[in-house]
Amino acid sequence: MEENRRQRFIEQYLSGELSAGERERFRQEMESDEELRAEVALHRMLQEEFGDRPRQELIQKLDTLGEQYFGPPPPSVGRKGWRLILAVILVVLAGSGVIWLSLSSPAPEEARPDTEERIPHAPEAPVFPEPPNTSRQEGVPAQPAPPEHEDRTSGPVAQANPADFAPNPYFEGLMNGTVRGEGLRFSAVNARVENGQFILQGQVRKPAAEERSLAVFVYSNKEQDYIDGNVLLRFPLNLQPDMEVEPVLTPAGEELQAFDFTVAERVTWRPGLYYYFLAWEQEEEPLYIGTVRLSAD
Amino acid sequence: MSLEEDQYLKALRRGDGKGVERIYEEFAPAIFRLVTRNGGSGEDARDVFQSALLVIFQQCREEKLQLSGSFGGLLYGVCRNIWGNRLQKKSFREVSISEDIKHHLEEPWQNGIEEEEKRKLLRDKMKELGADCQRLLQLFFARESLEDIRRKMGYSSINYATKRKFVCKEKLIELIRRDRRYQELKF
Repeated sequence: MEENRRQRFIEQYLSGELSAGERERFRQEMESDEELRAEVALHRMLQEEFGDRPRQELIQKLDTLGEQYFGPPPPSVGRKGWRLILAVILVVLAGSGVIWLSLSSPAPEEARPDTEERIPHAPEAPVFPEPPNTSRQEGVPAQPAPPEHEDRTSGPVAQANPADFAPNPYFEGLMNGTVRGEGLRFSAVNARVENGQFILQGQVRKPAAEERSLAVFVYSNKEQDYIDGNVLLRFPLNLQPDMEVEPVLTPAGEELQAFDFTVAERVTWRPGLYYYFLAWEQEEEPLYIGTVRLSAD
Repeated sequence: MSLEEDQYLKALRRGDGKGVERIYEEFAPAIFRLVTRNGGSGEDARDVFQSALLVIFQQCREEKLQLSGSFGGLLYGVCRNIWGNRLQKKSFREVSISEDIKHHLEEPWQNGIEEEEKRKLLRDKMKELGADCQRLLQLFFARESLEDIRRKMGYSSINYATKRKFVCKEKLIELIRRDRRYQELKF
């Protein structure tokens, strides 16, 4: 949260919102702190670059003309590229699925990915990523946790504080339109609290060359806890390559390899509703979000 | 500078699509040859051309521009300098420069090129963010109110919009700082 206040202070300094005294103190601090000066300069330049509308409009035109006269940029560029690739894969898969279904008409259970069977304790209705531009999220349950996520070893919920089970508007907002998989595909993700342990299992397909580490972050249902960065559990995912699952080749020629993960960490949480994120360890921007309920004993 | 060449500057300053397209028609082939014959790709040529136009745009909108020669000559000179600088930095890793393609330019232009290289780094890193963060930050930098940002992004509350803005901006800054160009460009 210290960083958050620092960022806000710099922005207030740059937009002239500080009082004369605060401004003077901030200038003195900058004089003796080279790192702060560089940080302020970077914030100023970001505002100058992206807040300059005529310039941004010109850049858009130059981007279009540049493609026209010099050729398009390379097919795989950052996350934007990955999202496009994922969309193409999903459209192709959806198309082939329709053809296949029309030929064989299997029962819905038969259409599930084979990964589900290899993951112990997978829920009856695992959440699979959906194509972008739909109303639901990739790998994000649209509703609060289904009953099968509950700790079945626990007693009735009625003895707990109802406020601890109230849905959190921040996370519900995330579930309703802002979380994207960033090119990753999560499947058969299952989280529960059992015998005092938070257990998380699932599978992710990610580029073999992707070097960033994934982690799980767990927050309470209290919005202030998330705003203040009070994470209840932050644990790296130990990814194990699943050799039995064939890698998927993207149109750009990159492999999406399947990895299994399991987390089992002892926790002392009180009964309530908890939200877990799967995210790049250093970035904490949710790539997948789910809920887990811990009932009262 | 001829009347026609003055039109190029006006088109750039106004962001006139057709006028800017005429600049591409007229000068893109020469810049493509300049870059690709000096160790660059078509993509490098596109980036150099765009950066040079933005340098000129920034100078002419601030009415700093004093042209003694032609627009084409200036554009070519700025492109040579941009590519020369980039080649110099690349040469430590993968490319050897066979000739000095840099061209003498006055100090304001050199400063403009340096400034543009910094801005390009910011744009490159912005493109690496997720679409949600990019959209949120564009609204924030355009000085939209947090309530408007909340509504346009479909967030449930202003507090959440504030939190997301912080996370996205920190992430953008981290990406910028991790890029080797951040140290080279001396922000």
